[in-house]
Amino acid sequence: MSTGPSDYAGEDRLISAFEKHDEFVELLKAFLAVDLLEEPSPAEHVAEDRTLSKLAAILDEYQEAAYLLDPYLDELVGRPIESLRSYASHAFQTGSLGPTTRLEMLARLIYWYTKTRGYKTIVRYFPHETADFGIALGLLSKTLEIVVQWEVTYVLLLWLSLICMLPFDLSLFDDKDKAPVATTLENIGLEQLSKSGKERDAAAVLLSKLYIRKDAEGKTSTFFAWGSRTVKKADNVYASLGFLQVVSELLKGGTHAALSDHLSDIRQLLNHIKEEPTLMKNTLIRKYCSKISGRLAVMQLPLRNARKTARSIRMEDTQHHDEAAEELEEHIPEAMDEHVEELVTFLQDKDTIVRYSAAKGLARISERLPVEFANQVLESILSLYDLYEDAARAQEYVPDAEGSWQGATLACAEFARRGLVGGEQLSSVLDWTSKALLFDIRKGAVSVGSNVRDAAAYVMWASARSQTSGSMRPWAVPIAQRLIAVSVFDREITIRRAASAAFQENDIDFYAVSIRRHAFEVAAPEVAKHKEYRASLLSHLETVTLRHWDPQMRSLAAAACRRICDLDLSTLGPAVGARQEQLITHPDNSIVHGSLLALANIAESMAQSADPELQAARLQVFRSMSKIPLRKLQSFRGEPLLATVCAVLGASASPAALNRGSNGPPWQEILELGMKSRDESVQDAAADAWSRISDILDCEKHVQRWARDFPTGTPVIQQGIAKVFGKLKYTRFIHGVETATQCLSAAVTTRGPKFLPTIEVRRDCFVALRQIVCQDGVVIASNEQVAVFRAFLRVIQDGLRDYTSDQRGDVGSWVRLECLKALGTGLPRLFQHCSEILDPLHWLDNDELHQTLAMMLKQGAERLDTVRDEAGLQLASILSAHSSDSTARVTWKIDGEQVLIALCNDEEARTWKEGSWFFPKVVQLLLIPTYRSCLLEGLAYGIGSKTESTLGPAGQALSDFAERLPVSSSDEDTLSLFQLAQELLLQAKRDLSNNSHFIPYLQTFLVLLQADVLQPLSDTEEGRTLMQELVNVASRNASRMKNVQRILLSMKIVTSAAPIPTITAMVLGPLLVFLTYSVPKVRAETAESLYLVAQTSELFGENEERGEELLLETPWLNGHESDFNPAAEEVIRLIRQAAEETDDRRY
Amino acid sequence: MGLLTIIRKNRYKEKEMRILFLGLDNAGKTTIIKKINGEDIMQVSPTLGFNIKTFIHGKYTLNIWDVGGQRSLRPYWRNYFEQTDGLVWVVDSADRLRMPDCKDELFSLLTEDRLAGASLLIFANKQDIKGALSVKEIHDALALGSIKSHRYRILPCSAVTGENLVEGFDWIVDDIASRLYYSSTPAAATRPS
Ligand SMILES: Nc1nc2c(ncn2[C@@H]2O[C@H](COP(=O)(O)OP(=O)(O)OP(=O)(O)O)[C@@H](O)[C@H]2O)c(=O)[nH]1
Ligand SMILES: [Mg+2]
Repeated sequence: MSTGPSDYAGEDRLISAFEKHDEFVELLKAFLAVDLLEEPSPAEHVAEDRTLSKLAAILDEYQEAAYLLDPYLDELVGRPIESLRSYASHAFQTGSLGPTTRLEMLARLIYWYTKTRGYKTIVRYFPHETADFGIALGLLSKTLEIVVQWEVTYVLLLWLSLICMLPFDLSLFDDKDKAPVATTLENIGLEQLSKSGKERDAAAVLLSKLYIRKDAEGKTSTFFAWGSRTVKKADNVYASLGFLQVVSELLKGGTHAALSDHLSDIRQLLNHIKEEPTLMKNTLIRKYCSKISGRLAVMQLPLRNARKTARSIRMEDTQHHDEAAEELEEHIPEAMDEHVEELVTFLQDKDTIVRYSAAKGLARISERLPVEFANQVLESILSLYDLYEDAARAQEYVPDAEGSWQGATLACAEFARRGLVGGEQLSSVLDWTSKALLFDIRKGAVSVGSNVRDAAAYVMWASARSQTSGSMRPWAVPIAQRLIAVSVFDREITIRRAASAAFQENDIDFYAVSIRRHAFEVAAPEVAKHKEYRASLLSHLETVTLRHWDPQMRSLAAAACRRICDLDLSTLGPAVGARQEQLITHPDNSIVHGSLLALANIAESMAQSADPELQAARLQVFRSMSKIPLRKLQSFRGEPLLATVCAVLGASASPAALNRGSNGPPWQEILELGMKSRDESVQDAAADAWSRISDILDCEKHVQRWARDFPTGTPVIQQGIAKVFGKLKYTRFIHGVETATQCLSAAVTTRGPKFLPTIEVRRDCFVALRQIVCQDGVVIASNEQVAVFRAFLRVIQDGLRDYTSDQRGDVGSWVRLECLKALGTGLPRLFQHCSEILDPLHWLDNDELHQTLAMMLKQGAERLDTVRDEAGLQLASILSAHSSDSTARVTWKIDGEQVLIALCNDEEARTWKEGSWFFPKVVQLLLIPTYRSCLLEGLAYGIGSKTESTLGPAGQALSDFAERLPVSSSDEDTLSLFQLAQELLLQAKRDLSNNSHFIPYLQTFLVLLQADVLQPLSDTEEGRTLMQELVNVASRNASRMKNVQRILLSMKIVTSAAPIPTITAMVLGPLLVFLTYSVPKVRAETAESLYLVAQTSELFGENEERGEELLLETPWLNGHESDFNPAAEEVIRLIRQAAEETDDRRY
Repeated sequence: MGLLTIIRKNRYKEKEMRILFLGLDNAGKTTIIKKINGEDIMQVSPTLGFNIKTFIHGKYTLNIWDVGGQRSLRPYWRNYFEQTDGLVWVVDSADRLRMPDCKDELFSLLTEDRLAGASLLIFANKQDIKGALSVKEIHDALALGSIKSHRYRILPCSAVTGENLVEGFDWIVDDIASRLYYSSTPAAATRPS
């Protein structure tokens, strides 16, 4: 079951070699270079663990293509194993265990290999000399006495399972004083077999290797006795599972003498387990039951053909079976029916892994059965389809349908793979499979059935591989058509790929179907170019995908439908149109929706053609909309229908269709409904339809009406109208464009009487204004419209100052973004057309242009990355339009053009989002007076958004820049530090009571102070005055401030300024206020901040010790006034004293 | 566990073959494997246990299991049968005395259920020794003509000179491939008559 559309590419990156070999070996060397017998230091431990994680991460990358490691396994596995062995042999010789930390990490690495490549392959690289027996067993016994990571146990058990294959009597290894080795092994194995973790798997391998031995034959009885007790108690699911794992492993290869006495025990235990709900709840238990049942059955059947192994997928000619059938008939044990029945039940299990194992079991059994019997088995499998056929057809969710269908399909695939499907049955199998390929049912928000479809592709794949081409021939075409349809039109990426893999001689590129849209719109039409697939693809779309429960699928299907019809529009267009028209009165809304989407798409194509027959068909599409009752469009959840009807109307509108006399659908009413919808996509669809119609019909009277309704409408209605205004085409008919623009402009003019409070409406107004002003030949280049253009620029300036915020955050940014786009489209238009305009500077004079650019720079320096990025992009298009038009270049001279261009065209394609690149460049523009004020404002906002004192790239860039400025300058044109600070202070003072304005400036000053940039100002008279004013402004009303952030910032400005000679005296007053503040946190932070300042300055002069002691020891946070007030006063006195002494020394 | 996983797994499996080397002690099993791998053959000593060798042959990865052939070890041979795709039976062509022994051991293997599907290659080894039995003579001595259960081929060879070793491997690999991977191997031409 999949949880949603899975559209992503590249999940299946094709790896063709172990490219990371060298890197891996380097890491491995480092990892193994340590002494296992030493305990690592904590630092070493961390480092080694990191290396291990890197190794594991590389292995993980090869999980899907692990065989690529094969040529290197000697090297990769050999070395770690060698380390493991020498550790073990040390423990063996000394009789004691060293530290195990590194042993555990080593074991984890080896486990990781087994996880990647499979234990069977990895275990082959373990040593297996006779001496290894004692060594490995010794280490395992020792580590089990203490607590070690499970990987150690796992790896040692696997190692022993290999050693256990040595062709010697195990009693040779026995030690007189100890229990026999075989018994020790068995005890350990059984103990680990009850574990819930992976140790159980390894223990099962070990035990199966042990019991297979001739000299361990006596042990199997004890094992089955143990198993029987365990299963009957049923209190330990894992022990029972472990037991089943061993049994299943033992049965794998066929008969063993060791087992022959126990076959009936196994059968009975299986029956017992099936009655035990606590055990049967566990999926793995059921899987092993199914597996064992299959193996038991196989064992009882003779091999039918020596050449046919379990791995054979070859189709034998069926006649061979018949020959042998009679003679073998009597050999079929009666129990066979039972097994088959049991497996057919497991085939319908609720878990795929159980079903899959049952499917394999059934196929393996049938491989050994005479052909008629095998056919009967298949018959009973196919009958599972019948059970839920109705559900599948009606696409209704029925709980068990999916399981049964998938089980049956998997079984068919396993049969096909072994060449067991012949003659008559081939056609029923393929018939059912074709249906299974389309099994797609909705359950709530998720799709059910992708694993049925996948299994169906498996059948197709297996059949193609195993059937002689002769028997497949009649099916070749329908199967190919189905597979192709699925491979391009399925909802899930894996199914599209599986189907395309199954379609071997494919025209379809495996990767071309990875992205759903690409599969539908590119791969499908590509395939449809082949005539033999065209009709079936189209029919698949019309009967399946256009009706899909997922609306996204329907709309992709409609787009694909159009692409395919385009291949032969004059035939296919009207035919599909007529068929789909039949469906628009269908009671099921998804079907209606699909048909409307198809009609809209086809009408769109027909609009490109002048062919009278196609035009007639298109008119018919328009008229057919009258079959849809308005109330259906207004009903609950009718939005998708309404949007699509609007799309149909737009796509099929023509002079004939809109002719009043004709009794067509009530299109105006429908479109007005669409405009008023709460769903923006419906509004957009309506606006698009109006856009088409406005090229056919004069809509002036509508425009006047909408403009009248606009100011008093609800926000939804206003959005609908704004969207339509933006989409109308004003070239063929002028439609009252001025009314529209005035209406929109008024709504966004700040402080104007008609200003609208809803941010979404304002955003849509700006979008619409841009669309109108930038429409070809409407405003720009038409000399009468200069006023419209100027109004447009004016409101954009307002919009760029929109900092509305609500619980969603800075929603004003939506408007600012649109304004940036409007400038980035509008100005280039003006530049392109400036040679046709009488007086370009009247449209936009040089000051206005620079003001605009400065505002864009300001946006570029601010907080939101999206806005900054957009500012950069739009400025880039303005600059490039300016430089590529010669008249524009002469008309407008851009200050600092080169710097601006460099900012917009980075060689490494860095954008304004990258602050560390952008800010150091943009601050240079502060040197240009035109941009200074705006840019500084933006920088302050940008810096102000950073928390407290962390220095962002903006702050860094500004302080670096300011540091290099001369302290003061005599001429106006050279920027001085003083001028910069003065400008900042001026801007800050503009709105002292507004924290969102003022705080960023405080922050900016603090950044500059903490970078020691402002200190030189104190050397000049004007600089001291400025600093004095800064301290005053910052600490004004300090005791009555409400905003904690503001208080703390003010405080820090004061403390940072304190050590500057000649300034100290000015800060003592505010400092006392902060040190004795009524909020404890403020007192404490002031003391802390002062202490930090004192560390790097001469704040306390000779009394440094006393000063610091006061700051540190006074209970600022919890103390009483009587404690901290005197301390504060003493601090102030000490600072004053130090300052006076310095002054004395100065003069 | 979708189709793509199955196909992927199938591809690995198609690339891997498990081949079991058996035969009386001193027949030359270990020497043959070393020789074809380009290793030194002077250091070979009787195998007390088993060896596993993995190497690439053409487009396949072969897992070769070589088990010691001394009498005491033979009862344990069955531990190695599981999932065997090919059986290579090595005969010391110069050891006339033990031919009956050799025949009995071979035939008891052929009745094994778990080897039923395996391809069988018989290496008539040590052809470099003077007086070694010819292929024809060994064919008769081992009564190979009576084998019905397996596809087999017998080849004269020498682990010392390397004669026919590669040919033998080629044959068994192709035979396994043609049997297991019907649709993917065009090499099925090299079938025995
Ligand atoms: N002249 C000659 N000597 C060979 C040849 N093959 C193997 N030998 C020798 O025969 C002896 C036994 O070879 P091994 O490879 O150990 O035989 P094995 O079948 O592995 O024996 P076990 O491991 O005991 O089962 C060694 O001394 C080899 O050098 C061959 O082709 N020609
Ligand atoms: Mg040997």
